[in-house]
Amino acid sequence: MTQYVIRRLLLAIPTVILVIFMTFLIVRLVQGDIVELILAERPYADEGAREEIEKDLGLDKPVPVQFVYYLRDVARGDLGESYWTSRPVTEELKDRLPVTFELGFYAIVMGLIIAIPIGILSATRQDTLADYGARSFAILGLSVPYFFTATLLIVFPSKWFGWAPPLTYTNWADDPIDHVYYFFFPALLLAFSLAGSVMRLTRTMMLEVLRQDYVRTAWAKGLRERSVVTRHCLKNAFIPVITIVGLQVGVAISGTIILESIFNMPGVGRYLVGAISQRDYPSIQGVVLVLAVAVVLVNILVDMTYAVLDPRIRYS
Amino acid sequence: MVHDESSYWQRFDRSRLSRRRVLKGAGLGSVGIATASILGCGDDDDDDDDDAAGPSPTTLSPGQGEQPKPGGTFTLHMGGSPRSLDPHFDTFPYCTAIVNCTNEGVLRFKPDLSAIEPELAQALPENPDDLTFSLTVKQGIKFQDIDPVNGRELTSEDVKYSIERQMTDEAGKFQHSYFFLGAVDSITTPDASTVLFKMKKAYAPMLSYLASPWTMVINRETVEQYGDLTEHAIGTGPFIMRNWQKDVKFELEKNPNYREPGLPYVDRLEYLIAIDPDTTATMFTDRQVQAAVIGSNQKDRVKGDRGDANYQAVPSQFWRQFRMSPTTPEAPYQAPFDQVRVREAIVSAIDAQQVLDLVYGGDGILTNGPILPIYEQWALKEEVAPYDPAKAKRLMSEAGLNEFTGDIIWATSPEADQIGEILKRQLAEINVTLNLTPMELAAYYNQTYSYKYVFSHHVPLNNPDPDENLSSYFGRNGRFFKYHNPAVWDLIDKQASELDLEKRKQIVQDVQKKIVLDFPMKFMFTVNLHEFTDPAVKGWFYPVDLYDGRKTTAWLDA
Repeated sequence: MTQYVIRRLLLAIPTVILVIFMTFLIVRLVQGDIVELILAERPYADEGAREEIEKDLGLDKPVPVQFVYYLRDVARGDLGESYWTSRPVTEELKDRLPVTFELGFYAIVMGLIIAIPIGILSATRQDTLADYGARSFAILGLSVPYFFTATLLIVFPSKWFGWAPPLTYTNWADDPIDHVYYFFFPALLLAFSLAGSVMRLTRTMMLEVLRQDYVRTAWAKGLRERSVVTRHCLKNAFIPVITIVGLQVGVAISGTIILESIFNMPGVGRYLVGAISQRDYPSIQGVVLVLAVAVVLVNILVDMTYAVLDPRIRYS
Repeated sequence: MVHDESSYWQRFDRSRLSRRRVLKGAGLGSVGIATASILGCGDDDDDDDDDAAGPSPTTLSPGQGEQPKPGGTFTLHMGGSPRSLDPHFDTFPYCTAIVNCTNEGVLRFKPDLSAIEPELAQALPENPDDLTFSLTVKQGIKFQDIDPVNGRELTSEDVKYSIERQMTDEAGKFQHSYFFLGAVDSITTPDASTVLFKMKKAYAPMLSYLASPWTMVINRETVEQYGDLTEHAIGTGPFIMRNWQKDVKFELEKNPNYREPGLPYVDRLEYLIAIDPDTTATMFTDRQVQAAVIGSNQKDRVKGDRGDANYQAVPSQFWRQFRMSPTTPEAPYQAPFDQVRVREAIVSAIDAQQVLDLVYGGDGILTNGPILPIYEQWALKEEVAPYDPAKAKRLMSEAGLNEFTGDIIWATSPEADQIGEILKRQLAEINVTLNLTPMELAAYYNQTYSYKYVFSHHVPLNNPDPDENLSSYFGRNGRFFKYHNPAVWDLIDKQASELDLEKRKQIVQDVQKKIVLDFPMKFMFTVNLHEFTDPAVKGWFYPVDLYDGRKTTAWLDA
């Protein structure tokens, strides 16, 4: 197992370097650069201003040279400084990453809490009213964008009932209950969106497993439904579901970008939007790198859980 | 407040604005709908009382004449996070919202922009000759009692340091360096309270720039201790910054050693940061904030849900222009724009009122020239280039131009995209075809500041001093728009060096008229801002210049 993890981690390095390279290149290929944005705030600037700013920001060097310098810095744990604020990107991310990860974590957990029981119910009560209802629920979750439901939640309860979800972030250390309450609504909206695909896959896999011979044998032995479902079906149905959950980490993190703006959350998603619009290359590169590493690590973790769910799986 | 009776600024002070005069004076006869919209949106007695109450400010004055009550926490909405708390660097209003509370300037504008008044200075500066400004700082003023400045006394050296710090041509370092860089020759401090500015030339905008919300007096110790002012706002102001939780909130506390006893009235200021307009509206209706600027699409909801709130629609400092290709000596107008009648035809074919009505429901006012009507003293009084489709067609015919096709670029947004569509339809009437090319903001900036486009529609910013609005767009060294017209450049230079207020006003009128009648662009309109405050908030309403973040006189009637 240890060897497997080490090998996976080593294999992740080229992936991460590729992400760094792609991000580094794309932000420079997109039309509209940081220097013009800085100059756009200056009513007067002489001919040399552009070169001066480029030099100041290190953008005067050829892009391959800039990339090598950046890789060197990343290897040292230095993600550079924001072009606008001169603050180290690692400092900017230090406070924001936990917010995004916390929201993503809650959303995935809540999504599983919603999706798995409904998926099981839908499979065990196939083609009943409960199944139709559950499937409709899943389709609704998949098809209604969470930013739309978020806007509805922000606007209408306030208008109709004089109630609005909490819109100002509270630190865990200041008030844990308020902190969790603050995360509850955006996490629920994101969970609702994530739950659709998990629920559908759970249902499909459960239906497949329920038709296996060993399950028929379990029924023939007179086992109770709960026992058949939980002990004999669920573990075997779960492997593809866990894979989807791993992939949903990326979806959840991207989902936080809009929700952070709507719910005033101080996470990296909101920071990333600002950095993109202001062409703050080090900030964009830093956020994408950290999120990419997180997604890679989560997926390694997901792969490792296969063995827990199915003892037949061996890592070599 | 001591006034030098002979000074330029004292006369500036006398010509006060009223909102009604702003609207009348701007030659708005043709914009009845927009005007009605502005007035109609306010509470009923708002405009009825204008004349009865004498000269009225352009902002509401809740609590005027009432006895202020001390204490409480005033919670305001902030539309984004500042990039920096360095007023000499940043250009976002989120910076001045904080820094104008923690720091002060030597001068300041009144909230209605009708006058400049002393803040840290004892009086408005004296100018014994055209090339000298002498300013005396009030004595006994202390910086906030926090590290590293620890409550030491403010001196003229601090003023000198604050101005000189900005006077660098290092690109990208201080965005407001142009305030003083080319005009101030030297700053000396003969004693601890006197600051003497020796000018390179007669410089009419000097006091406007000294009164700018960006020209805050800082201290050397903070800069030296922290390397910059990105996260540290320490000054002589009425509030001390206690907490900045990035992207969440700012918390400020009353400065117990503030120079004016009894002020500020509130104990705490809290700014809650929200960027989404619907979220902002809900924060106000849900009473999570007591003051907010609400988006056009949310204003009716807020008015419906918070009928008790103080509300005012005020034309913003941003205005919409339809631009034709910029010009430089190396790249003058290309055919067919080299014919002034073609440019005039295009300008005459644009019905700015229709654009305003269709896109914003008439929620704004038309503009006649480069200076917005909210700056009543300076705005072009008459509409010299009105919408005239018949004339537009005739001019195109006289120019022998049967048709023309060109790209139009703009920074994409739902409203801007609609504007592009409407302009396309309007210009189709004179056989000018616009190829619509919306662009992402940064990409648009890249294109627009390369000055290579046929048409664009753009939203620039106006500022209180006319020089800032004229020279940066139409002057010889302006960067915001390239406009090659030496006669106009000379006039712009002339107004900047004219210290006689009435003469300067006349030059500003002349130069605007000259620009408008050269038809480099269509000056279109400015849309309204929708400002709301809780009725408990007294002694303060949003100033005309939204960059002014002072809250010293705010109090809470709760």
